[in-house]
Amino acid sequence: MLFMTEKDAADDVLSEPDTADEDAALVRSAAAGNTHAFEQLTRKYERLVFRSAFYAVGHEEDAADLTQEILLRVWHGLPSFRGNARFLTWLTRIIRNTCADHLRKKRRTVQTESLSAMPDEEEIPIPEPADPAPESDPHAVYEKQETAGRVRDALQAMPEEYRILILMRDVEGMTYETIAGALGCEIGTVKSRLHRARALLRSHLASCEGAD
Amino acid sequence: MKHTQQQNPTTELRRTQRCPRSSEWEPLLYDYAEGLADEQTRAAVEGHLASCAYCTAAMEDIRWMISALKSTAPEPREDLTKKVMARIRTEEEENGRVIAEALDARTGRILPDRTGTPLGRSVRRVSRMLGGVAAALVLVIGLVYLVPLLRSGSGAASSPSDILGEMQTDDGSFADGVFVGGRDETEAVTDAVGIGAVQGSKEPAVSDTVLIETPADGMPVILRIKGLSAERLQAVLSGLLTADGAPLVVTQTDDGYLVSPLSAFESAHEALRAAYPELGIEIVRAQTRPASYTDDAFYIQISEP
Repeated sequence: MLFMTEKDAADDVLSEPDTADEDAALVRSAAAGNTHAFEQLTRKYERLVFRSAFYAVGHEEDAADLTQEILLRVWHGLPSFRGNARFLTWLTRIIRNTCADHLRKKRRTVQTESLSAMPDEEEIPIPEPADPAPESDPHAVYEKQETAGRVRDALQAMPEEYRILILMRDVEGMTYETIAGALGCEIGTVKSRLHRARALLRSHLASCEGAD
Repeated sequence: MKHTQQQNPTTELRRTQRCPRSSEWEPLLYDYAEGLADEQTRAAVEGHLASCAYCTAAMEDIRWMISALKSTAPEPREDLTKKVMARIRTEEEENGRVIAEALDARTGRILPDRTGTPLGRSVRRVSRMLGGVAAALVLVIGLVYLVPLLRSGSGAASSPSDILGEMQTDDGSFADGVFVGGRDETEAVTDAVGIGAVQGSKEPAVSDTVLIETPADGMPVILRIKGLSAERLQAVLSGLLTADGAPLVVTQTDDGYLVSPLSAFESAHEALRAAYPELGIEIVRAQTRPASYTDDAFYIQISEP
């Protein structure tokens, strides 16, 4: 394996083959009002939710707020969640809808504000990366931030259904089997969609580079 | 060719003459890069890379991308789950009194409601809906009774989420939206999707749309349910009540139905969305409109679950 280290593999909590069964048990318990079960679900998926929100809206503070909102919506919606859909499928739908709501509200706010009061370009801070190893080389720090910004812009420009696939596989390290189970499709379908998603991402990354 | 983690090798790829079979090799390059290729594929990829500068550059590009995705992904704050759980537990405490009232005095257990869900969660759900406007609850209740009418005209209703998630009409098609309009919401709507531009499809607008207008103030309301007959719509609408407990006024016109008041529909949106987060209820701006339409229109769209 060329890129996944042993640490990566250990971090792949979402790639366990029994994820769907485990989720189903936690969801049943949480739907009955068990907050401890819901806490386990939250801890399991908070990174996926947060990163999905971040790459959808491009802003860390907003993503943190949205993550809370999404998880609360999940909690409130659990009693109406039907077991014939996978939890992860349902969760991704709530992520998508909540982020879409947020972006609509944001656009509305921007539209109603006076253009003259707005800065030419909003400064969007780049959050700390997943591996915040101390960098002593300022050039390396700069490059890393630049890469993070480029990845963020490229992912933000992706269609949501492609972005979530990239996050599940390439960021969270979920197995193809888990993703297929979560999305209710064949592994071959996941692979072909992911291939298209990655090709598009590479194209966006190249565009971002060209724009620099 | 060596790259630091942050340098995108795409530039190198652009400079290299394209491999005529790159589209065939690329999926295998991903498998190879992820360590998922079997021995035979690995040998084939390595053999090809030894003689193809383009695919070698593409492999570097793929490696860089995967590495960059992992290394730059942001981490949520450590206390995020704690914050969410704190909010939930606060809500639980606030609802404690209501739940306590639902306890069976003899056994001390939470009384189940008709769907078998512990009553406490149902009470909270109803509380959230009431948190909007009473009219919203009236409309939701109206919808609860709506679908059984759509489906068979009789039979017991299941839970509201089942109903809203499966608004199936007599001909087996899915109801795909409830259109709602109003001047008050004009500024609140920004997304430019035409009437009938249902999320995930491109079906054209209004051929099977039932139009409802509010004559009093000129603000339109459109209720769009595929395959719903005019008679059934009228029957359903006549069963809805306003916040004051009065029935909606429904009058058939040449091209639709006039319904008032609009307020019951407007206030339903937030409550519906909060109660059924998985259904993707949205308000969007209508770009096209029927000839009789005299104002901007919006609709609440309920996507298929």
